[in-house]
This record gives sequence, structure tokens and C-alpha cells, in this order.
Amino acid sequence: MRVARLLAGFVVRTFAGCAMAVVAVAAGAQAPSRVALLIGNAAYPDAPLRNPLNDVREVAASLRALGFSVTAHENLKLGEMRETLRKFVLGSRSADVRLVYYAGHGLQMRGHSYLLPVGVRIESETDVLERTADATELVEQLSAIEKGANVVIIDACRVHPMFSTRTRKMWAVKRGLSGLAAPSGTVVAFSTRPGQVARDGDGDISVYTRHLTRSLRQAPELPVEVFFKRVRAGVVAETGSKQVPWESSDLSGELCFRPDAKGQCGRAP
Amino acid sequence: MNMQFDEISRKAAAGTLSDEEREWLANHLREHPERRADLEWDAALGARLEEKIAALPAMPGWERTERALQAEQAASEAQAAPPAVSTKRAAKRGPGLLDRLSDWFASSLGFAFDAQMAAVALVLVQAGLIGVLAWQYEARDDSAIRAGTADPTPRGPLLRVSFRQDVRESELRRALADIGGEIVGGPGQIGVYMVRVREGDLRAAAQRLRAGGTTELVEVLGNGR
Repeated sequence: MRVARLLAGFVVRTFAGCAMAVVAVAAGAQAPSRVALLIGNAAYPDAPLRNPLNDVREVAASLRALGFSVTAHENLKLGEMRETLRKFVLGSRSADVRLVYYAGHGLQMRGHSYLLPVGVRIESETDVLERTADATELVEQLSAIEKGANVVIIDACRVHPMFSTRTRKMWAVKRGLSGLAAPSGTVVAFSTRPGQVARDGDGDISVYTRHLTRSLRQAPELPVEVFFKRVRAGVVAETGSKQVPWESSDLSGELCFRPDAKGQCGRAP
Repeated sequence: MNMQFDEISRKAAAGTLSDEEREWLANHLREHPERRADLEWDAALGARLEEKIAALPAMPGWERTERALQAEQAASEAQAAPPAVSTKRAAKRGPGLLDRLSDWFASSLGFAFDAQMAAVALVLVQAGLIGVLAWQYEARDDSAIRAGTADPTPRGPLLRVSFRQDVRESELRRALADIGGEIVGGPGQIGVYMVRVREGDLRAAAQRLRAGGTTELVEVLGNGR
């Protein structure tokens, strides 16, 4: 009798385990159709920023409210940042929409844009290649994915002391980010024009991110081109044209942050 | 007889006859009146020579040459010296840059002005030659040669492959050899390689690579692009 109970218990547990495994596999197989990776770097030892962490939290909340599966990271070091980006590129290939948002320091060198992890010091051009995350390669690798569309938002063009004219030793390294032409199926949005500097903002979040999240709440149904135009208009109005966001889009289809039940985007009012 | 007449005739023309010679000449002309014409010709020639000599400067040749040299030197010094009285502007301006440079060369290097000009001309010719060569160098575009003239975009049957982080190089090589593949691009920071499969079925190669368990990503990029 005891043996029969043990056997029955084994069968039940085995069945339950198998059932749970089947559910898990099914859940895994059904990858989220819209995924977002958010990175905010603020704790730079020689150039700390006040807002990126708040920016990431604000954007994460807005995207989750729109149904995105969000992964947010704060203050990533070099190895962590590269590994995070690598995993996202490799792990989100089945998604319908991939979104990457970055807030922190960035720079450009010879036409490539680079994102600055925390805990690194850039003292030469070689350091740029060895101690940063290559935003240009990120965009290229995302655009190489055949399925879905990509949205890359970079609020990274803030003033860094390495660009002080007195200490400037790296001629090819420039402030701001380079103009990054969006490859096929991709939208790239910068918080300011290529080569220009963005404002961290006087408030808790940056000027750009405030208008980005406001538009995510108020007009997520707009096609992304119109959506980012709305963000740009808000930033330009608030900064008196001192900061002008910049976008590049090469989408073949229509894309919006919250399509209607038919999968269609709304129209601008 | 004729020689004596000629000599006395020249003396007569010069006005240096002695009394004895004058008497001899008078007697001779009485005996030979035809010689009076010769005597008059000699007298006329003597007068003409006197006029010519009087027209010449009184200085002997060397003295005249020395005086001319002194006068020339004085004129040259007067030209080189700054004007004693000049306008305020001219005094302030002083010698030009070219003059000072020329003086410096002349004083420090001992070059004459002509030699300096020749050197400047040589430098200009060399600069022109270098400019032409540089222009031809640009036009030839050696950067393409240095970078390799091959199209940087990989062509052929391609796979996009990301190997597992813990895969050893020997395992990676073995996996590539198994499908007859070669790395033609990557990896960047994301760790994605472009692998060209030399021969055989591309999809079968991708399947074999996935089955090997060394990869995180294997994607077929179509039959070349």
C-alpha cells in the first residue's frame, strides 16, 4: 500500500513536473513580440550625471504601460554593457519590435558612435575602441535581423570633461554622436543633432526624455516618424532651439508604440 | 740729303729749329723750291696734332682711372647710406623684410644677392615638383591599394554565426572545418561572425553547425548578396 502511494505520488509529481515544463517551454517559445532594453549610466567617477537613472525608470514605466517587455540596467561597467547588448541582439531575434534606449555619456570617433560605460577612463583613441560600447555596430547588428523592426533611442550627447579644450589630446574623438543613418527596418533617434551636446536638464529627468515619455503617454498610436517629430517640437520649444533632436528612419512599413486592435497606427490630430 | 730734309722739316713744323738748321733749310729751299710744299704739309700736320693733344685731358691715364674709381665708390656709398633727411613714415619703415633677409644671408652665410636669388628659385622649383608629385599621389589613391582592393562586403553563400562564449578556439576551428566554412567578417563587440561556406548546401551546413552545440546563433544570409 505504501509502495502504491509512493508510486502514485511519483506519477503525480512527474506528471505535474512535465506539465509545468510544457507550460514553460510554451511560454518560452512564445517570445514577447515587443522587447525593450534600457540602459542608464550615471555614476561616472569624473563626470557624474544626475538624470540617466531617473530617465531609464521613467521610460521603463512608459513602455511597460504600452505592453513592452522591458529589461532595464543601471550603471553598467564595460563587460556588463557589452554582454547585455550582445545578449539582447542574439535573444530578441524573434521579436516584432526591438527597442534600445540609452541615457548616459557618449562620444564619436571617425564616424562611429560609442556609448560610455561607467568605471572607464578614456585617455586615447585606442581607449575608445577598447573601453566603450559601439553604438554603430549595435544598430547594424539589429538591422541585420530579418524579422521585425528596431527603434534605437540615444540620449547620450551630454557634456563630458574630456572635451575640455585644455585637456584635449584625442583629435579624432569628438563630442556628441555621429550622424547614424538608420539601416533597413530601423529608426534611430538622438536627443540632439549629430556633434551637438544635449542637456541633462535642471529637473529630475532630461529634457529629451521628459518629452519622449510625455509623447509615449499621450500619443503612442502615432507612426514613429510623426511621434518623434512631436518629441522634437517639444524639446525645441523648451530649449529655445538650443537642443534639436535628430532622427533617421528607414522603415518600409508602419510602426507605432501602440497600434490599434487591427495593428494599425493612428493619425496625427 | 732727303733724310736730313725730313728731319729738319719736322723740327721746322714743331718750331724747334736751330739757327744753323734754319740757314741750311733756307739754302736747300732755294736750291730745291719743289720741296717747299712738303715743308708746308709738315707744318700743317704739326698744327693739327697740337690741336688734338690740347683737346685731350691733362691727366695721365692711371691718374684718370683712379679718380673715376673714387668717384664711383663715393656714389655707391651715398646710395647705400640712409637718407639724412627723410619723411617720418620712411624712417619708421626702415629696410624691408626682403632687404633684411638678404643682408642676413649676406652677412651670416656670405651669399651674394645673385646666389640668394638662385637659391630661392631652386627652392621654388623643388616646391613645385613636390606639389605635382603630391597631386599625382592623391590622384592615384594608394589608400585603396593599402586597404586591399577587394570589396569589403563579403560575398558568396554566407552564414551569420555567434559562437558560445565558452567555446575554445580549437572547437571553433573544428566546427568551421566540419562545414567547409571560413570566417570572412566579424566579430565585433556583439560577437557575430560572417562565415562563408565554400561548397555544398548552405542550409545543411547551418543545420550541422547548430547541431554541433558550439553556437548561439546560426542564420542563413541567402545564396550570396
